[in-house]
Amino acid sequence: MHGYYAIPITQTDHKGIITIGTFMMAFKSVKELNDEELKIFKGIGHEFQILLNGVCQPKNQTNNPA
Amino acid sequence: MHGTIHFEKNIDQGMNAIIQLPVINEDFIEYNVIEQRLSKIVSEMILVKNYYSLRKFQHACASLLEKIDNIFNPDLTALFFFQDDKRFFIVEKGIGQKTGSKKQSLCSTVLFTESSMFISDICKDLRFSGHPLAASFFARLLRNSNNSNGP
Repeated sequence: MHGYYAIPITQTDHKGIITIGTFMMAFKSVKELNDEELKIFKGIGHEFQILLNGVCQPKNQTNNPA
Repeated sequence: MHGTIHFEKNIDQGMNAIIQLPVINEDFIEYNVIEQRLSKIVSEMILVKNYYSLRKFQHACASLLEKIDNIFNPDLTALFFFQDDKRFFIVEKGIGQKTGSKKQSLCSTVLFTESSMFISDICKDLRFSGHPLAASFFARLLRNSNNSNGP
């Protein structure tokens, strides 16, 4: 394995922001992404994060505020 | 992964009944344990909108993975979460597993550093010098170095 690109996926915990996972892609050969491609990759990583944030509640909160 | 055993049983009045039993083997058990753990990981995180099941979440993630595949055509791509000493693939392409060891993964470095990694060649990156996937390169480099220093 040569080319390796990964973005941490985070979640808010009572201790702060913690890394809970990773979004990655890897290439068997050497792979250099240009600035534009990196921007796209980061953008999709951000979409994963938004997706997770959209369905997640920080762990220190509860469903029943009362 | 798993199947059913079909067999017929004679009952009174000459009628046959087909009884179906699931085949319980190690693969079946492991598959279900992993499915349950994956569901638990996702459900623990997804507390507010609990209408999101693991399947719905995977489906939503899969479209993003497909986008990556169409643009970059990588050999491997995945979204996974860490729990204990394992990583659980929510969606993946080219890996063909539902779980993996955290220690053996390149991504454990990302977990440790908590920063993005954009590496064109891990074999030339010192952070992975001890990693099995890059070790062959460093072994070769060391051997070449020794040879050049020799008589």
